[in-house]
Order: sequence, then C-alpha cells, then structure tokens
Amino acid sequence: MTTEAKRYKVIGTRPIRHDGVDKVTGRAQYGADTRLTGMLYGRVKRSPHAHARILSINVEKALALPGVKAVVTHADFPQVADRVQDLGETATSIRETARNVLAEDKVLYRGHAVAAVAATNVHIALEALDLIEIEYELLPPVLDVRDAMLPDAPLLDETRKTRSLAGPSEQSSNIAQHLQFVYGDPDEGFKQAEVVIEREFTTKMVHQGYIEPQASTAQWNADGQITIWTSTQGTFAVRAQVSAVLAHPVSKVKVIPMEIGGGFGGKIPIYLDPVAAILSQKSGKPVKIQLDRTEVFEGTGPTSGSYIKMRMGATKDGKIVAAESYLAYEAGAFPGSAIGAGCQTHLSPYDIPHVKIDGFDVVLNKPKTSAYRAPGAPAAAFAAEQMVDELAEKLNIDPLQFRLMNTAKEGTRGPGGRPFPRIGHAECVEAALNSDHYKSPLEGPNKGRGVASGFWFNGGMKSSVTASVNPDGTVSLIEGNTDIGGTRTSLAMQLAETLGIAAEDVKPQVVDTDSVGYNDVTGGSRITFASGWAAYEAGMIIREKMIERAATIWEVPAEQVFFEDGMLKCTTDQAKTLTFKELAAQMLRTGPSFTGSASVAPVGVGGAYSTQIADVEVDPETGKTTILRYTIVQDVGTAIHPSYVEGQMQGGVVQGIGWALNEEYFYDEQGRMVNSSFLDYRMPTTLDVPMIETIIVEVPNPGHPYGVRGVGEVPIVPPLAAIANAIYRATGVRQTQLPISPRRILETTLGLE
Amino acid sequence: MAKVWVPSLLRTLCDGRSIVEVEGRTLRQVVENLDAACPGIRARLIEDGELRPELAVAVDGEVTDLGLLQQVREASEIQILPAIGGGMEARDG
Amino acid sequence: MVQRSHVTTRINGDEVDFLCEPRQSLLEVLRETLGLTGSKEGCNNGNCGACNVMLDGRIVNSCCVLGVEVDGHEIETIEGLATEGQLHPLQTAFLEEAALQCGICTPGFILASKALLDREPDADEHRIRYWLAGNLCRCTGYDKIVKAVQKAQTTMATSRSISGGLK
Repeated sequence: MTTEAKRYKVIGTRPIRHDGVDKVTGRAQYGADTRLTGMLYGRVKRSPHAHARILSINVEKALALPGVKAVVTHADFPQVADRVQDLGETATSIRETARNVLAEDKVLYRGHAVAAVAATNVHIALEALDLIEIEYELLPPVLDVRDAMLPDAPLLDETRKTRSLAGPSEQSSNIAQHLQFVYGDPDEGFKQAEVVIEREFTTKMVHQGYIEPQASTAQWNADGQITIWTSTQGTFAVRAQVSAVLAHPVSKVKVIPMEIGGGFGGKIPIYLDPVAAILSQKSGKPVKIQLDRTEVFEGTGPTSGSYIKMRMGATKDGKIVAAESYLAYEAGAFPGSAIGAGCQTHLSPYDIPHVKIDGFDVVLNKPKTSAYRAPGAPAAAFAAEQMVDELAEKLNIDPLQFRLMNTAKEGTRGPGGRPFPRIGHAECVEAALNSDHYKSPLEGPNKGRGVASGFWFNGGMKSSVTASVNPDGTVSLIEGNTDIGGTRTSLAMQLAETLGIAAEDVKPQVVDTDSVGYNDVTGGSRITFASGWAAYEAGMIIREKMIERAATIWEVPAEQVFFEDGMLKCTTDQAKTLTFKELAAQMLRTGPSFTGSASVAPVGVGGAYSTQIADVEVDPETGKTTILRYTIVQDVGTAIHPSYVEGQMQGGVVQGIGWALNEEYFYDEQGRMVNSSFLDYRMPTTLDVPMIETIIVEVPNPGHPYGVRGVGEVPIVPPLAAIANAIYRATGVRQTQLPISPRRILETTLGLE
Repeated sequence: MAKVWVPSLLRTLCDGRSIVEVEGRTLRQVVENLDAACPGIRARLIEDGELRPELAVAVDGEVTDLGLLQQVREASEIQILPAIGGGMEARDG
Repeated sequence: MVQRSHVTTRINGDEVDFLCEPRQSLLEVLRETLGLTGSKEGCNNGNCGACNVMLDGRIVNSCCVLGVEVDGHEIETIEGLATEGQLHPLQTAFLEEAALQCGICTPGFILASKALLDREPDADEHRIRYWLAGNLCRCTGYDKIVKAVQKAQTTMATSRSISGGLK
C-alpha cells in the first residue's frame, strides 16, 4: 500500500460492517424471506422448446384446481410503445423485456416463461403448471453464434435488421448490431510488424452463479398502488421497468429492497415482478414467486458465449504496432450483449497505434443475456491477453516486462480516440514484477506460470443520499443502493471521514423508492465511488450548518468558525471549541436539525486495472488443473475498507477460475441445457482454490474527493487468460477454447481432437 | 473549432476523413454543422430528435449524459462511442 | 386437502410442534411454517449447503430431509447459535475477518464450520477446506471464510483452556 491512506482517520481502517450481526445470526431478510398475511405462492410455466411459435394457451384446468387463485400470460400485459431502458451496464427495450418476462407469440429459448399461477401453497402451484395446456409449432433452433450469423440461419425475429452506424441492413438478420472501430492505419501497422500472430478463440455461455435465486413479492392494492419486495441490484430500475411493462404510473409503484444474496449483474433485469403484480391484481392477495435453481439457469440472464478472432503484430524490439479483432457475442433471445464493452476494454492495457475492431451482437435460441461482472470484458481479455503472451514469448521478452513496455498511460488514446485520464496499469505490472510470487521460482514437471492484465471502465451514474445528525452525535445515513458487498459500510466510512466522527457513529440504511432520491443500480463498481461522493457532499452540507450553528452559539460571525477533525473551532478564540457530539446535544435546543441531502451524477470516474499471476499444475493423465498459487494486483484508487476491497478481488478471481476451468452451459442439439444444477454446473468450492494473495496498489483517482476507483469488476477480467497462459507453459499447448476442462486438456494434449 | 473524431463506419460520408473540425456551442450545433460537412451523418446519429440510445458522446474526455444539450468549448475534442448500457458512459480504451 | 402429519421436535432447545404434508422438506417447514428464515434455499437438491442445519448434532442439508422425518428429533438452526445475546466465536470471527459479502451462504457456512470444530477442533487448512466443500459461496472466493474458521479455532481453544479442559 502507498502512504496515501495514512492521511485519513477512518478510511483505510477495517470496522465491522453495520449489517453484519443480522447476517451472521440469520436475522437479515432476503427476497424469499418475505411473509405477508394472505400471501399466495406463484410458479412459472416455461417452454420446453428452444424455438417455437405459441399456437394456443389453455388455462381453464389450472384455474379450476382447488387452491389456485390466478393465472397470467402475456395477454394480460398492456400494449406498450417501445423505448430503451437504461439498466446501467446493459440496456433493454421495454417491449423485449415484456416478451422475455412472458413470451408473446414465440418462445425463443428453453426455459422462456409462458404463463404463471398463484396458489395457496407452492406445491399446488406446481401441480397447476402441469394443467396449463400449450400448443407449440416447433421451429429449428440456432445455438451457435457463427451459425446464427449465416444468411440462411433460422431467424428469431423476421423483422430484425442489423443496426450500425452504416445504416440498417437490407436483409433481416440475427445480427442485431455491428460496431466498428478503426484507429490509425492497421494495414500500414501490420506492414511495420516483424512478428505477426493470428488466432481464433471461443468461450461458452456461463452464469453469474449467485447462491440466492430471484424472489419477488408483489401486492396490488385496490387503489392501484403496487408494492414490491424483492432482492434486486436496483430498486429504481425495478420501478422503472415494472412501470413501463405494466403501463402503470411510476408514482404508484413502490419497490422495497430486501437483502440480496449475490447479483453480479444478473439481478438488474426484471423477471418476476410484473408477473407477481398481475397475479396479485387478479387474486387480490400478495403473491410471492421464487425461482428454483433450474429456473435460474434456464430462465434468467447468463453471459454471452463468444467467437473471437485476433491478429496482432509487433516489432522485434518489443513494440506492439497493430491489432485487429473480430468479436461475435451471443445476445441470447433478444439483443443487448455487452459487445461494446468487450470491444472497448480488451486492448485497454496497451498503447497500440493501429487498431481495427469489429463487434457483433447476435441473437440465438438461448436465454437473453444479462450483465456479469465487467460484462463483455473477460471473454475478450481471454483472447487479447493470450495474444500478448504469445508475442512476448516469440520475442523472448518476459511477459510482464512486455506489458510494461507497451503500457497505456494518461493521454493514451483508445480505438475510438478518447484519451485515458490518470490510470494505474504500469503500477500494477510493476507491483506484480516485484511480488514475492513472481520472484519465487516454480519448479517441477507439468507446472506453469501465467500472467495477464485487464481493465474495466467503472461507472459513475446517479446517486442520492440524505444524512441527519441525531442528538447523541450519531448520524443516520439514508441511501438507496442494495448492499451486496459491504457498501453500507464504505458509504458510512466516507461520511464519517467527512464529519470527523467514527464509522460506528454512522447508521446507514438502505431504503425504498419512496424514501430517498433517485439511485441508479448497485453495479458498475460505482457505489463506493458515486454514492460515496453523495455521502461526502451531504456531509459537507452538514458541516456548513454546524459551522453556522456554532457561530450562533458563540455569538461570532460564521467566517470565524471552522471545522477540523470532528471539532468546531474559532479562529479568534482558542477556548471556543465544541466536539461533534457536544454540538449535536445542543442541536434541537438551538434551531432545526442538521440534515444534508445530495444527488450527484459525478464525472471523473477512474478506470481500474488488474494484473494477475497464476501458478498451475496439470495432471497429464486426468487433465485436471490445480491452482498452486494465485496473486491479484489491482489499482483501487483508495481502499476505503481494505478487507472488503480484498474480498472483491478474491471473489472476482475465483469466479474467473471457475469460468476458465469448468463452467459452461452444456447444450444438446435441441437447445436444452443439460447441466442446469449446481452438481453439474461446476462452480469452485473451497477445495478448488488456494488462498488468493492480494496486492492493493493505490493510484488515487484525481476525480474523487477520496481518490476512489471502483473495485468490484476488474478482478474477473484477467483470470481466464492468466490461467490459460499458465496451462500453456505447463503443457506446451495453447488453449483457445473455454472452459479448459480436464476433457479439453486431454483432447488437446493427447491429440484426440 | 471543435474536433470531432468520426467513427469508422461514418467516414465514407466525410470523404474518408477520420477527424473533422466544426463550429458549435452545443452538441446539437456540432451535429448540424457536421451534417453540412458530411451530408447524411445527422440521420445516423440522431433518432426522434435525440442522440440514438446506442451511442455515447465524450466531450473533452468525459462522456456526457446531457446528450445534444451538452455544451462544447472552442477547442473541444469529441468522440462518438457505443454506449455501455442504454446511455451509460462508454469508457474508451 | 392433503393429509398432514403432526410432528413434535426440539428446535434450538425449545419443544416445537407443527403440521406438515409428506411432500414438504424440513427446509420448507422451517421457513414457511415456523418462520425460521435463517436457513436459505439455494438449490433445493443438496448441492450448495445454504440450508444446513444440525439434526441430532449432525450437519445436514435440510432441503433433503422431510418435515415428517424429524418427529422426535433435535434440530439446531442458525437462529439458535448465539446464546443469550452472545455471538458464537464463529459468528464473531466471520464478522472480524470480513468473511461475508452478500451473506446468503453465511448461516450454512457457520453451522458447517461449527460441526467441524465440534469434532475436530485442530483441523488444518486442508481439512477445513475439505469439510466445507459442500457449501458454495460465490462472493468471497473462500479465502476469508477459511481464515475466519481458523480464527475461531484459536478463540475456542483459548476459552477451552481457560475453562480447564474439553467442552
């Protein structure tokens, strides 16, 4: 760590998180824990087919089952005009959201929701699903991204044309969008290159894997007020989407956040809320719907599989001069993969003068994809960081040194021409070079060490908070961002730092959409940055009010009063001091309470880099890869609460390990995911990973009052390539397909392909 | 004059130029003047009177959420990028 | 109406009785009938450990136990771990080591860890990881969870030696 953190009193310390006791005693209430009087239980009927037209839906028998109180289909949704709803790191069109929540005329993936019932208990609801009769006309499914791009591919939507800046395509297509970047003169650049390599890569669809399935409870009152209790990453996003899908005024939709058991981007879109709402409207009772694990895999939004082709050229003295990338991402049933982010992040660690990038967002018969932690970046980095690794090897340069020689820095321009502000890739690489891990030799057969870097933009977006001083000198902090990783505490700490009080004296609360100003989602690695900024501004407003009040009490002009280290002091009389608590005790006797509200849309977001080192051992007989040692270096700007920063780093790495080695949506030819359970969708367990060493680098973000850079997402970007690079060194075979499962290793090393 | 970095798929409208300099105090004015220099470009950037939702614009290094209302200085640099999300800042690089 | 059975059991030291259908799991009964929502459903088929409870002192996935099966048996859930307002050393260690992020897996991990430390107070890191491999966490990467268990081991060993011998 640098010495930056030492100039703070609260920032950089490790207080117990404010919601901790509730979470270790089972008292914290998550989405499925909602219990209301008269509550009914809902379940969703889903398509068994990957691609089909819906010919008819008959719900009579289901409605007649004793205990069933309501049934809903897409026909119960109002016709809505289409528009784009911003979800933070992805977007959706409202008509497509409505069609994804309940299929309209076609089912586009196995697991696509078609109808739902509400009954007095969940078992009756499940029985009722079997009594819903649906007639389908089967259509051929398309399940591979390259197949879906072919001109004769089965079309998911006959009206869809490819959108691009070049104007819409003439033919209908599954290619929803084409992006392109050209920077410099790539043809010229490749002529200058003395070493050129070219490779193709494929990655599979994977799921965020949050342990808590989606759950929503809705109550539609007779006065038209809809209340929703849900675990979500964004209460205001839920409110906006529900209001749009149901054509119901935003003022009559209230969203109450429950605690959330993991999200990683997958709990930003809505799946259940409008369904539960209409079931509640029809039955007159609150309705709770909870997904089971198979539904989570088959009916919510995983992240894209991809096909990527790259060409990269360098001069013999180690300068990367040209890069060309072709990236095709699976959007799933409706457009909106993170292809834009994939295109704009994979070369971000480097200063490359000549670049061409083509990106394609492609629909096919799989679930509509959703954001997954740095959406779009990991798959693209899997390709780019192996290309860089291969170039370094051919040039006989250490792979970390090679990255340092070509590093992007402040002022470097990306493929769209935009220059970077102050960034910390070089510092990360240097810290990796100097790490104990990198300096320790790795010896023995079947072992290899790989490195990789990665980048994520991070978001700013909008946040609002309100802070109020209590008579005992504690401060209530009202905020609107659900707490997935400890943000109640990182916000409380920033407010405490601003006011010069202890973190324990701030009481943060996450409240509903009627109780706080607008907040964008918990996502984009933005809460500690943006909501923290709002907390800082609210704190500064309170400081001003306290200065004025102290001036009143001391009968001096306000200009003579200042705030320092949680104390009010007077420039003209040293004896006049008041601690924060002393002034708070007098607050209500001397005027109104001290309250500060701030709504911010801050600029100056700092992007984040991470460089990672993986040591692996590959068993030549079983193909199993063991991670022997793993180090993550990351530029965090300022580590507000180092333990939770480390937690984000370690958690992202382990998700990356699972993505690299085992996780995939394994489809049969009919478009059925055959491994839709935690047994066969193999996520890492305690036995699969070692301790993850963390090295926090602090290059404070000049754009933030406390130097914060978002930390949550970038950790997942490098591991796919770091592990692939390590496996290459352990086995001599480059792995260009994910996951690098034991089967894949044996196929490639034993020549069985 | 503001310096507009023209996305590759629009350069045919600008005689192949990758950077075009135009006057303008706001992004709306810049786009109008850009259309004079590169006929037809306005229709590719604007839909229903607003910046297309899949686009984001960076002015002097910061992606703006004010759309066409964003003010532009005398020597501003402007890049047109794919939006990350339906209008969230697109970070370049 | 499906015939329901009358079940009598001890939960967290208290005698509790309830009615349940044969097809209801213990997890469902705990959560929906008894309001003990600290045990969580992650997968409903025994693969994630979020529903862990102790049944007669043995750690089980309550989603794989039927409500009717626990008649006459003893159950401990996360709600019963803190005694008289005092957190168990594992709960304290999880907080101090920041071993939770979203917290949904935490009740399961704490109970599973307790089951281990009750049997093998000196379990080494590998043994801890082996024992906890039935509990999935997606947020932490497990590092701080293992460290929290190790910290609790130290605390519990200290208090054992203070109280003079085996618990």
